[in-house]
Amino acid sequence: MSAKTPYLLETENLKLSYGAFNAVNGVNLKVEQGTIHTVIGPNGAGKTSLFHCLTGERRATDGAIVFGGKNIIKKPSHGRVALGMARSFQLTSLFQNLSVRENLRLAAQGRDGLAALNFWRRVDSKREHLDMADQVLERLQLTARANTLAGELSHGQQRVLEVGMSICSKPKLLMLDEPTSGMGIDDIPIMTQLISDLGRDHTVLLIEHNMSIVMSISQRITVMSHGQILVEGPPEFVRADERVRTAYLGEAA
Amino acid sequence: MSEKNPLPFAKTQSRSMLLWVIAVLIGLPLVLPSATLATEILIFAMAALACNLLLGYTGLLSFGQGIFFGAGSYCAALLMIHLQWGLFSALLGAAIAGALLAFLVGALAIRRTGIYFVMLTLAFSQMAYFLTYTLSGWTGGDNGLLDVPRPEIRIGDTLLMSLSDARYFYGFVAVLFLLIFIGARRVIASPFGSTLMAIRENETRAAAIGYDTRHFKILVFMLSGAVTGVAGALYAMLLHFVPLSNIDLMMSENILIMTIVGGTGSLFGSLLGAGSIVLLGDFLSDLWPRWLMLLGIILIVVVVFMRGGLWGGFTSAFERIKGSRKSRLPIQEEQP
Repeated sequence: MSAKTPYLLETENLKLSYGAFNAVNGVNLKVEQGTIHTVIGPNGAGKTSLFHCLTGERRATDGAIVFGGKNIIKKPSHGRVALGMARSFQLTSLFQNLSVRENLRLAAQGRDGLAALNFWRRVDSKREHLDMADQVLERLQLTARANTLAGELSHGQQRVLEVGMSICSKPKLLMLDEPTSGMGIDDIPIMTQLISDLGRDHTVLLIEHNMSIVMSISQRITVMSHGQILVEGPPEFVRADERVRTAYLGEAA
Repeated sequence: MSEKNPLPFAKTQSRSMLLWVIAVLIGLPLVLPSATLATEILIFAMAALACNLLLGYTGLLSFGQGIFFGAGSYCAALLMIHLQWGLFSALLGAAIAGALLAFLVGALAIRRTGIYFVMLTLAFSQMAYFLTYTLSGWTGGDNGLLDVPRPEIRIGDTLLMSLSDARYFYGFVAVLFLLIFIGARRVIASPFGSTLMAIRENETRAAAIGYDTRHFKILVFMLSGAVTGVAGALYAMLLHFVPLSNIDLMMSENILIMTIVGGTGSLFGSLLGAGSIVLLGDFLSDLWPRWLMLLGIILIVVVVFMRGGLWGGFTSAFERIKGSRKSRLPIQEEQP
């Protein structure tokens, strides 16, 4: 794999099988540097399974995941952070009893990996993690809630924090798993705004159900069905595709 | 653990906490009928504090604390009896023995989480007990290990202080306790400590933001094992004797009970917990031979009615009295 490829992330014939069932069945996904790339598909299409392979939560059965020119298929999830991958969770997964600021600081500290085993320095001896937390607080417009426990935020704010934690490690690739899941209709524009803002300085791989978000902010869309890629292209192209309409868009478009 | 208590208090309060600890250390021998009883409290407070690092800060319920306590006792006693090791080297030996065993137990047990983790620590605890029982040539088996010395404080060949007087020994243990307390607070306020709390709160997320949680759990196990080993060694010196019960499952239970009654997630709570359980045991056993039943009732009352143990009960009562005079911003202990 040459380093000159425009793709930050590529999968080659990626497979994830549960017994005889192939949840991901030979996917060749290419995520171009600097884009917001969305994966959509009906329920059971294999989006989340694909996502789990990419984050390292599940070990792919076969194929390759090439990130920044290196095959990372054997890296555990914590090892992928130092390489520049970061993720958010579909079900909000925060440190509920820690403050918002501490949630973000921990996420910034995580990139150092085992350096955090240091048990004799003070937390604030690493100024850069606190600074990063404060910057992200500002960007998420949560500065006023910095000392609130994460579990006491409104659901919408928790979703924003969920996404915000993933940018604290200065990742090259942001992988967001249904960031609007469970959000009220009033909060969704805030999330849309945030994601397109993050897309300006990160490559974003998005898994999303909400069609209006997908169409408005993605540069590229991959439609999955039955564990395979059905169609891939820019939003207009995908919107116009007959197979996509029958497989998925029927209800929304 | 479902019982997470984010007991909020600010930095100034945590400094006054240190003063409280010093006050308790000075006050204990003055209030209590004997210095020996006060020493016993501090020794168990040390063990509870070490247990708290696992249970309160990392969310690991370990039934293996008795192993490290017992190992510290036997190791220090054997080193002093057979190799004539001095005070500090024997304590260091106990700390290393505790840490090594904790490494072994931890490295294997943390491969599983939740109830399986607890079962593994329980299994190790039983194994350690029977191993000690079997090796009676070294450990004295059922009779315990007798004639354990209590060396004096020496530097090189110069004798600084004899500890044979119970009050002097108390002083020595109190200084050691204070150092360990300060050390534990430092650990909690470090990047490592903050990561432990992240693991307690949400291990999946901790891994997702880049932490290899196994390393953190093994290290906290080793720190906890080292401190527990020192506590065990001091207990052997206090009694001049190592009873087999030092490495019994009951010991693990006792340490856990003290930690939970005092309050998980608060180091001062461990001192409270150890103090109240040791004192209650001392007091109740005079009243009634079946005093463990009363202790059981008290344990139930604390767990059911006081969230966050005695320490949690005290702070919430204190907050209620103080009302809304201060800001209610929940600031974590570990916040800089």
